[in-house]
Amino acid sequence: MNLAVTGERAALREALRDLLAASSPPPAVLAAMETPDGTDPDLWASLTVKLGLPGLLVPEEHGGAGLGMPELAVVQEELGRVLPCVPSFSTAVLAPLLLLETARPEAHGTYAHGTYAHGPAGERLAAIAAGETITAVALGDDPSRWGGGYGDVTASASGSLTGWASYVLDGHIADAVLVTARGPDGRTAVYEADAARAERTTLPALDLTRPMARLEFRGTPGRPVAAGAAAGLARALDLALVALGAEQVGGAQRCLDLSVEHARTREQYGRPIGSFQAVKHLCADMLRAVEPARSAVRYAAAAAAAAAEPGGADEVPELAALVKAHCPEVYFAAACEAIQIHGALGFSWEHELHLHYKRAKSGQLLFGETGRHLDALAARAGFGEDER
Amino acid sequence: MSTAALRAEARAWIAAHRDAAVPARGAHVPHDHTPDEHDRRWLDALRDGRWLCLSWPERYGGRALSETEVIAVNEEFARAGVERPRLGMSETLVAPAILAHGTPEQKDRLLPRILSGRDVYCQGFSEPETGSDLARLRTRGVVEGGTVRITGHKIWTSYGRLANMMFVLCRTDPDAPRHQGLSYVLLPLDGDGVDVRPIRQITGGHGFCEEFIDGACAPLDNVIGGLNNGWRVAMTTLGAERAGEITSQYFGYRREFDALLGRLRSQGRLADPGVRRALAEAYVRVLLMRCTGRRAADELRAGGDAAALLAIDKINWSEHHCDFGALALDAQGPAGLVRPEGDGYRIDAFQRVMLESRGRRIARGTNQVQRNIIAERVLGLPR
Repeated sequence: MNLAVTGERAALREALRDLLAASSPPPAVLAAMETPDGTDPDLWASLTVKLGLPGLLVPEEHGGAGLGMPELAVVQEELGRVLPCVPSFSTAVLAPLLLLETARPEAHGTYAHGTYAHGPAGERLAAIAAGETITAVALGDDPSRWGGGYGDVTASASGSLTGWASYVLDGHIADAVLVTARGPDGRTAVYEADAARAERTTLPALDLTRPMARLEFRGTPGRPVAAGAAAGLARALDLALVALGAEQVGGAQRCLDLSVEHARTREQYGRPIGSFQAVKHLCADMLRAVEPARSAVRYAAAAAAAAAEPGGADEVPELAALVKAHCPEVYFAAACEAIQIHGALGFSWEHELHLHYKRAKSGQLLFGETGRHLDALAARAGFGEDER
Repeated sequence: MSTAALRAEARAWIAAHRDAAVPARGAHVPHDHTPDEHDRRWLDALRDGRWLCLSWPERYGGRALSETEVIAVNEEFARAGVERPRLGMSETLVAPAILAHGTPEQKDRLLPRILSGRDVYCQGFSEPETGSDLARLRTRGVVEGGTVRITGHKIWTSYGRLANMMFVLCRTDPDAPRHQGLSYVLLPLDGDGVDVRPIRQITGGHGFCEEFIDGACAPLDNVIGGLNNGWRVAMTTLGAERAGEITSQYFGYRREFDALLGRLRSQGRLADPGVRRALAEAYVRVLLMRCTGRRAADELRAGGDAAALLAIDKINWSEHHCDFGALALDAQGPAGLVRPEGDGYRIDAFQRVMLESRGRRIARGTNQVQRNIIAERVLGLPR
């Protein structure tokens, strides 16, 4: 376990930061998010070809880089700074995590880092690593701890899918969709479906950099990927929360950086506004919130890697709840104060801050609101709901 | 010695001395705590085992441990649930100043007296009209032959009752610009011209004092860093011990959190969802300390920059402690209204946190001054 970013991880961070600075400056993001698909396909191709982004988590056997959560956290933090319009959270994060955690050999440890997946899952991972697919995840058997509302899909013995799933990230442009559904045995199972064979509606998302769709399944053919997958699904979603948290830390850091830069250069009353304590203290409070949040994400990512080792203790469920209960709050507060420090400029469409404000809010709402994860944390720590 | 060997040595030593050990307390020793016989015996054992003043050079009785090694030792004591007390401000503030700015003669003379407990220091910085704006202090120091004669009024002096020495910041050149005419003088409190009066605190105890100093003398040899160089000495960075705190403080806050959980469970208060939600928010902050402590250790080990983590640490733990202290009483409901039976103004551990935490938000640089420091030195905002 090492929570400092050094060596290859630092190099990965620099490479991604350089590429995004050149290819996804704020005006490019603002333009791409208002295209019909809300996506920048050239940027996605560039991230695929130059950095192998979709295959980051995909094991080497399937043509990926075989990296783990600490590296993913580094990547997510950079993406969170820039909010590029690419289907990365679906295809490079959610789909590989779901496949690896639900469709792996039983003999492997708690987290499937670096192991291969068999059958259709392996084929799907290979397609992801090769950059041949945009693969979305539809939560048709949604986790009750998130309060429901994400979907309700059942699968027949022949794999035919019936029901609906909503808030499917990148579902409007995906060619394939991994659907969690109640299988014929009543247990959670994962199916792969041709996204074009579901009825899909692009949703008018609050956060234009995070496009999403609603999918209706009416006897849509599904290919079984994993059965009895409830535990694996829970692990995959916990890891996804950590990845989301990393993105939020990156976004919060961007809000802080923009604020400091603005406060240094913007003059009022004949002085830079950053010389006023009222502004200084807002910036200092952002820093003292962002750094511990970053520590939590790094710790959680390292804990996932440590738990994948034989005999490693599994701290991930508690840490994932910590990350999801805290990082979105830090990000939202940072976005609020950044807008305040920028004045009317921060309230304008042309400035990137509203992208962060909206992404921060969508991050609070997505995958269980803050209060639910606080409750989950309490339950993990032994003072949950059963204490009556 | 490798860190693993050091950890093994610490574990073995703790196991062999467990019977004499003082169990770990909450996050902070009570402000007006007077060491008792048990504390003194444990301190003697730690001194014999060389588990005090770890970062000091071996010549002065330390182990010359690096930040990473101090962290390792602190973690072992914390995990074992055993106190590893510091020698108050003598260790945390005076010794780093002497090590950084003292002459060889001063180090040889003064450091062993700190380690042996013969000298116990309190801080003579604050004055009735000088708090955050320290450089405006008025206490005068006049050099007469081989002594500095000091006259002034110091106040809010923690441990003033227990100390025999005070590190005084006084003005020795009234004509110099205000940061340049100050000297850092080690003043014996047991001589003539010092009247120490306890001040009763918010807790009812006497955790600090004020001192009326009227011509008290310190030998010129007790000026650290040279005459009129006191500002630089007073601003000495606090060294390896400071980094050791950030990585192990989690354990103390966690113990306090668990103790509160235990009390609320016994009171049946955990059935209240509002209480559970508020506790979860406090628990988040405790876990963040654990994550940040671990990260600070790793950043230091990797030779990286932990300056931001160290700069934000004091505000974060002191703000947490204020919130935790308030929560601890809120969550108990009416049970929090009543103090323990007994003479005087007795308070229980949670009432103590609720009261004392306010002081830690002010001491060591108010959290508002800390924000200025973070903004200017870490974020680079203009003064």
